[in-house]
Amino acid sequence: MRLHHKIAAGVLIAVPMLLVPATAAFAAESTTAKAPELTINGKPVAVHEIGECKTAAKILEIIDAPTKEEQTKKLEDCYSAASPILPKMSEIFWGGIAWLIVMVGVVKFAIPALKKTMAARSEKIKSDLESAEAAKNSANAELADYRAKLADAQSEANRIIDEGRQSADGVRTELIAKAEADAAEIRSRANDEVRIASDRAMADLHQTVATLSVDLAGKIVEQNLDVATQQQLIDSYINSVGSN
Amino acid sequence: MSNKVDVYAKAIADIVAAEGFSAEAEDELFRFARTFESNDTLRMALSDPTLPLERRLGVVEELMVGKALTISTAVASFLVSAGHASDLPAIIDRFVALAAESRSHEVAEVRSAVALTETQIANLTGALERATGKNVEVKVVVDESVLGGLVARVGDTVIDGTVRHRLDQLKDSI
Repeated sequence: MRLHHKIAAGVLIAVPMLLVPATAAFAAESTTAKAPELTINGKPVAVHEIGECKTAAKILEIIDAPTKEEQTKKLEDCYSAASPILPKMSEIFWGGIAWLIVMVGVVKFAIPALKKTMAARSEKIKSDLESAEAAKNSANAELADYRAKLADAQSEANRIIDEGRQSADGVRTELIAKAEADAAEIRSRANDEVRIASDRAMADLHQTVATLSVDLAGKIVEQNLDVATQQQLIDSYINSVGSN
Repeated sequence: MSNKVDVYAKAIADIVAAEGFSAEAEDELFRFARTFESNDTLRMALSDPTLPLERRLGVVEELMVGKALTISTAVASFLVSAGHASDLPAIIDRFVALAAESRSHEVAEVRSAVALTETQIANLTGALERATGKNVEVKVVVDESVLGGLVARVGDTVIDGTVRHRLDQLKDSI
């Protein structure tokens, strides 16, 4: 709450508080004022004995009553109970003046201050509403932005997942193909090794058979090579070399 | 061919020529070299430096004394005592080749399962000269491993007509 608003509120509260004790003090002063020494029919009457008839006019009215009965009646009127509804005129007067002062103060100071405060309050509320609206719009925009980004992120995530899945499928396919190729190569190599080993075994067998056969043939030839055959071989060689 | 082999071969050729037994000494040393090549026990015994020299010379003399010329035995003993037994075949071959070259001939090494007669050697010499176009001196080596027939090597040319060669061809064809 702003300072002038506080001041206006203070005035509204303080003025009646100041005015009411003032009227009460005035009444008390009037009550406690030194009343003239009264005698009624030669008998002094104390102030408190004349009830509410404290004014001189009242007292003179009582004194000047033509008859004792009227004096008594008027004096009894002074002690008659006040109306429970209507205040005394003095109270109404001073109360009215105080009320007017308060109302003047209210109209002069409080209401403008209140209007100003209300206007400021209204302006502030309006500004706050506008700020809130702007903040709401900004929040909505940011929300939309976040949602868009979230959608983009989701889309990107889906794309990455798809790419990963495709890559995994590719790798799996490649690995399977490589494994099949390796297996085929291993089978082929194994078949080649088996074939080579078989060929080598057959070649060794052929070699062994040939060696055994030729050795056997050599032994047979050696046993059958007599001197005449040796000479024939030598002569045949000489003739063969000489004819070339 | 190493220089050492050449030097020893020339020295032996000069010594043998000086003694006047060139042809016989060539044949005997040539056959001794072939025996040395084909006999592992003889080769290891004569090449073993841990064997006392007297033992090695005793082996040479046991093989050659009474069967070869004194000059041939002396040459073989000299090579063994000089510690060149392992080079003996190469030195002897070079010596025979130098001797043949001095007569404008080339050595024809002929291997046979049996010894050749003089007539066969003469016929073979003529046949090899016609075949190679060179003057040759036939050096016959009896080698039973050829089984039968002959094989002649003149320089880098080899003419193989042995039964062993035919059996090897038969083995290859099988």
